[in-house]
Order: sequence, then structure tokens, then C-alpha cells
Amino acid sequence: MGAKGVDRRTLLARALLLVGASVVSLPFEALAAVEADLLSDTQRATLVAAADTLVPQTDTPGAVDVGVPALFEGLLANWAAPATATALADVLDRLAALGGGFAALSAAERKATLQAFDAAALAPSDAPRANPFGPPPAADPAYQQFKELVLTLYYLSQPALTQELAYTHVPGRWESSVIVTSATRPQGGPGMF
Amino acid sequence: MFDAIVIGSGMSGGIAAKELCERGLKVLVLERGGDVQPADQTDWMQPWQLPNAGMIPEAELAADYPVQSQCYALSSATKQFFVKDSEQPYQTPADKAFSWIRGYHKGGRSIMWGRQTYRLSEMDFSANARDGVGSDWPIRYADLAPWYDHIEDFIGVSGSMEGLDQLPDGVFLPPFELNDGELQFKSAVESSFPGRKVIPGRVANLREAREHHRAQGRAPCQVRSLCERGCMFKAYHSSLNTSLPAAERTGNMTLVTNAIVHSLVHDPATNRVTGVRVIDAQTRAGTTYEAKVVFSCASTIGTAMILLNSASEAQPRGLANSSDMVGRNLMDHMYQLLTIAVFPDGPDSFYFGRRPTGFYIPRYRNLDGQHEEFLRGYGYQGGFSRNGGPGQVIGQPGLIGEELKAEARKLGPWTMFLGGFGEVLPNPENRVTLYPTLKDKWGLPQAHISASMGENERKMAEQIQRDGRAMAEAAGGIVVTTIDQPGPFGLGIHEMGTACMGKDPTTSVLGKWNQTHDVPNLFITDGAAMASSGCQNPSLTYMAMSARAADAAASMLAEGAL
Ligand SMILES: Cc1cc2nc3c(=O)[nH]c(=O)nc-3n(C[C@H](O)[C@H](O)[C@H](O)COP(=O)(O)OP(=O)(O)OC[C@H]3O[C@@H](n4cnc5c(N)ncnc54)[C@H](O)[C@@H]3O)c2cc1C
Repeated sequence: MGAKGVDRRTLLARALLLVGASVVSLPFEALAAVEADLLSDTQRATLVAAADTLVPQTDTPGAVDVGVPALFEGLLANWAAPATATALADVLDRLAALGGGFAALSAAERKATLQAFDAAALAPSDAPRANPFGPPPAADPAYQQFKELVLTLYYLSQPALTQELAYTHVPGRWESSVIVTSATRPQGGPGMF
Repeated sequence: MFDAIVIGSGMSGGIAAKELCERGLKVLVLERGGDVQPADQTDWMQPWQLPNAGMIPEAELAADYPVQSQCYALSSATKQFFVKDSEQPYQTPADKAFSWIRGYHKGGRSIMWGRQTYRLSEMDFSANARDGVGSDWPIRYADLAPWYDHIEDFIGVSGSMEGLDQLPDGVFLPPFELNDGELQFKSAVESSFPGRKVIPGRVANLREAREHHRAQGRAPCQVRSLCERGCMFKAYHSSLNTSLPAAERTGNMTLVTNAIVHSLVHDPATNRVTGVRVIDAQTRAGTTYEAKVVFSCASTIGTAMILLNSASEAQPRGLANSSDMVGRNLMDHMYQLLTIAVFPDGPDSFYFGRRPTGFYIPRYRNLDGQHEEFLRGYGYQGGFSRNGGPGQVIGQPGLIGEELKAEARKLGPWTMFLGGFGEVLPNPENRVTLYPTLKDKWGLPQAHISASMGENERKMAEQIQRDGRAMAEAAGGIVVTTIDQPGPFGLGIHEMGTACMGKDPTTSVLGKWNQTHDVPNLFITDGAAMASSGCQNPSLTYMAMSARAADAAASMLAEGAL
């Protein structure tokens, strides 16, 4: 649990500093709704490090830049049922142990370690497919859910939808055939076709 | 005293109200749910503004929406348009699941509907007579054709002219054209399987806003695919966007929300319905409204419940139920018979916009006689997309970091979603009754819904999935997912049949004008009226029947025949 007298923003800001993120652009409103301290300092630091490793800053903002850790904590507080929150916190504990302390590793070490963990965790499993539109069943469903939530939050963010993908809220027209160029990006957002 | 009362403001009630009002009748619309304000529509929300990334909190979902959550359209941005199952209980036998997907509010399910809009054909209206199943429709295609025209013109339907007997053309705005993946599929399917057609999905979204649409304050579809959240452009048909405002403009409509219809008052001396008993959803106060004519448009199951709850000494089995057919013959469409396939050799092109429809494959089995091991047939809805993005990377073990971002930027392979919709036969044992003891929180008896698919449906479902795979593979697709069992009864959200039309008053509830055989001033124009289900999405037919019956009722009233 978080240290007494230090608010969540401060804790999160500290964790963010570990990965060198700028804290200016974060959607801190998301945190306002969080009532209970759901993550320990280590879990929070691991969340930030894992989000940063999964989706780092490149020529576009990364997961931490767009506030995924705060939004993720928002989901733990406002969306997840207790069993889900426990399973996700457990994922963070398992990630925290990687390399003898995941958040403290260098960026390169974090990437190598998480990549190996990810490859094993997402190895296909024989479990029946629960959702035909979801990802195929994987060896470690809790980690799969963790990664999916991080990616969902990132790719629903305005920077990712407009810089990584080519989302427009109001396309205004249907063009049934468009030439593909090196600049063509997926549209993101809702709608199947 | 009103000229007419319309029960329900959804798809059928909105049209009934408009048509009655436009003929000069003073109309009272009784809606059990609340009003819908512009702020309840959430189409303005950007993806990053969706509460909880679009997800309803898990505990709330489990407690309040165990049935509604089976519907693809339920999200944190649309939950205000779905009933809470916890507040609106119903019963089923333990071994017969039924998914009753509902929205109780002004506009009903016309707000969240998928807008797929297809006519029934002559083959459908003569099917029961040909097969000796169910009740022979007292109308044929020619009776409804002008009313299909009338509704399509008013609501705006985008589609292509195809000249198919089994899926008649209509009054169409230009279609949302097929994309290149779909065109390649179309040519493969049509050459490999003569008689099959892949056509643009016909959809009640304005590809163009014509003069009479603009006059209603409607703009063309902005190709956002946010429709189930409502539409600030009023570009798709819903009671909120089109029919209720038209009724309102006549000055003849009074609409009362939170008005739960309990039952109908029947006067045995005149054999007329004289009033409608209502419970206020908030105060629970009771009121009786009077009118010369009553239209029940409370949806298939809702209407059956009202009739059954209106039993009296004179009509002990329920109102207008001398045939014992009220509540029986509950049908739906087999749904969720999915085939998902990827096409590695798809065309090297993309598309722009999020089209509010995809393609449609009209029925091609048993068209000119009985050729299959099952009666009737099925159609498919589907579409091709190249989504890319996060969905493309999550399933790839070990993909993280810069490489993940780079991969998510790529267009995905052309991926086809193909969903069969199979006709379900009328079966009197598939049935809605009033539960003898359990009540809802307003003291009304809960529905007991007992329905299951039969042998005909089982054989058809197998063929739907065989054909789905064969079409995907003939077009170069690799099938990645199939679902072999149709979803639960009801999940097609095309429930219908509980007060069937027919020629014979001893085996049907409604005559050719949707007027009950037993009580002349009582009309039913929602899905309850359907004598067979066809395989086409049914709402257009409910609306066409509503308009036709309203016209007939207004004439009968003027002639003093009611
Ligand atoms: C997600 C979704 C997708 C769909 N897609 C399609 C599609 O693509 N094509 C298609 O054709 N159909 C589609 N449908 C089905 C379509 O919505 C229904 O066929 C249609 O709305 C039925 O019209 P209705 O008037 O019978 O019922 P509704 O539209 O449900 O309206 C009934 C109204 O009556 C009110 N009511 C009920 N009981 C009472 C009572 N006792 N007293 C007072 N008021 C009462 C309800 O509150 C409601 O407002 C879809 C439905 C959903 C939910």
C-alpha cells in the first residue's frame, strides 16, 4: 500500500520518473476516482515499467506518455471485479520479480526479460476460445488480459489513435477503394468493416 | 378520449403513431420507459472519452446485465439504452435459455438496432401455405409492397437494385459500395456457386439526404459506425430521429413516458376495447386512458403479456385469444452462426470511413421448390475489413516494444466476418405465458418464455456452417474461427410470432389488417403479428404493417366500422 501522507499522484510521478517520462500530459483526472490504494509502490513501479516496455516512446508517444498507468489504475478501481483485480495485481508481482527487480532494470534489460516472459505467457493453449473476436487462448490468461488492457488503453488514447493510427471521429464519407501507400495506417476506433 | 392509443414508442409504435396522426387522429402514445434526451446519446464521445475504455464494470455487468451483455451493442456508452435484467426479470425452463434483449425508453430498440433492412418476398408470404406449417398469411407480397415503398422512402434505405425474386428491390438511396476485399469475394462466390449473390448490405442510414429527409432535419450518414449510441446527424432511422418527430409535427400526438400498460379494458356488451390501464413506473399510480382504437406495439413478448394479462370473464384465456394462439409460435432467427476467415491473397487496397453496413448474401436454398433436407432457408450478413492496430498484435507471443508499435501500424490482412441468419419455423409449443406466481416490482406477472430450436433448425444450422466455410475457401480464405451452434433463442433479437396473422380465426389472432379477429378495434402491428419469420431482418416488415394497418384503421374509423 502507498506510504501514508503521500498522495497517489506523487507516487505515480515518482514511478514515472524511473522511466524518464514527462508527467505534464497525464490525464490525472483518471486518478481522482480512485478511492482505495490498490497497488503497492512496487506494483505501481512495475506497472509503469511494463507499460513503458510494452509500448515505449518512439517517434510517437509511448504508453506512459499517454497516461496508461493511471488509466490502468482507474480500471482496477472502477471496472475490475475483485477476482480480476487480484489476478492483475498478481501479474504485476510476477513481473516485478523478473530479473531480480523489473523496475530497476535498464531499458534494454527490461525489454529482453519481458520479451521472453511474454513469448512464454502468450504461447497458444488448447483452452476453448471464449470470444471469437478476442485473441486466441494463451498459456497465461491473466498476463494476456494485462497486456490487452495496456494495449487497449494505449490505442484508445488520442495520441495513439491520431499519430500511430489514422482515426477520425467523423470520416464524413465512404470510399470503398483507396490506394495503399507507405503512409497508410489502420483507422482504429469502432466499427467492423 | 383519444381517437387512438399506441402502446410502445419503438420501431413499430413510432410508425403507427406517425401514420395515425397524419390522418388527423388524436393519438396517445404510451411508453413504459423514460424520455431520451440528446445528452443520453453518446455518439459525440471520442474513443478516449469512453468510460472505462468502453467496458461496463465487471460486477455491475454480472449483477445487472447477465442477459443484455450477450448483445454486441452493450457497452459503457450504450448501457442507458438497455434494460437492467435485475429490474426486469423473466423466467425460462432450466434447460431452455432465452435471451430477451430489450430497451425500455422512448424509441425502444430502434435506437440500438443494426439497421439492416430487407423486404420479405412472395415466397415468404406463401411459405406456410406451401409447407402446411403454422398459419397461412392472410396477405401476400403485393399487399405489403406499396407500404414497403412508403416506409423505405420515409426512413431512407441505402441499397442496390438486384432484381432478385427472393429479396425484392425497393425505394433505395445509393448503396454503401462493397470494398475491394468484398468485390473479390463476390466474384469468387458468384462464379463458384451459381445462384448465390453477394450484395451491399441494405441499411437504414442516409447515404444521401434527399429533400424530404433534410426537411426533417436529417443529414447524410457521416460513416462513423457509432449508430447504437444515437446519432446527432439523425442519419439513421429511429423513432427518435424520424417517426416520432413527424407525429409530433402534426400537433396530434400526446406521448406519455413511464406509462406501463398493465392491461386493456374490454366491454363485453359492445365487444370493444374501451381503455388502457396504465401504472406509472415512478409513482405506481394507476390511470385508465380511453380511445376508440388501440394499437399494441409493445414488442412481440410485451404485446403477448398485455393480452394475456387482460383476461376477463368474457375472455378468460386472455384478450383476443379465442384461438389460444396468443403467446404461441414464438420465433427468432438462428444467429451467431459465424465463420471468420483471413484472405492472404486479398487485393492490395484499403478503404476510408467506417461504413454502417457490410455485405449481404440473400437466401439461395429452396427457392423454387423443396430441395433440401430442411424447409425454408437462410441468408448471411458479413463484411471484410483490414483492421490492423492492437487487435493484430495481441495474439503474437513475444511481440513488444518498438516492433509491436511498428506491427500495429500495418494494415491487417483482409478478414471476413460471415454470419448466417436462419429461418425458424412457427411452433405452437414455443410459447410465452404469464408466470403464475412471480411478479415484477410493479406487481405485474413475469413472463415465462419457453422456446427451443427443432430438427429443421438443427439441419439448417449445419448447412449454414458448411456453406460458410465452402464460400470462404472458394474465395481463397483460411477459416480461423467457426461457431457451430446458433446462439441462444432470442439473441437474434428478431423475436416474433406471438399473435400471428392468419385467415382462420380458430388458428390465428390477427386478420389481414392486423386487426384481432375477436375484438375489432384492437390492432397489433409489432413482431407479434408475424406468421412466419423469413430469414430477413424483420423490422422493415413491422413498420410496413404498422403503416398499412394505421391507414386501414383510420378508414374504418371514418366509416364508423369500429
Ligand atoms: C442491437 C440490436 C440490433 C438489431 N439489429 C436489427 C437489424 O439490423 N435489422 C432489423 O430489422 N432489426 C434489428 N433489431 C431488432 C429491432 O430492434 C426490433 O425488431 C424492433 O425494434 C422491434 O420493434 P417493436 O416496435 O416491436 O419493439 P421495440 O422497438 O422494442 O419497441 C417496443 C416499445 O414498447 C415499450 N413497451 C413494452 N412493453 C410496454 C408496456 N407494457 N407498456 C408500455 N410500453 C411498453 C418498450 O419500452 C419499447 O419502447 C436489432 C435489435 C437490437 C437490440
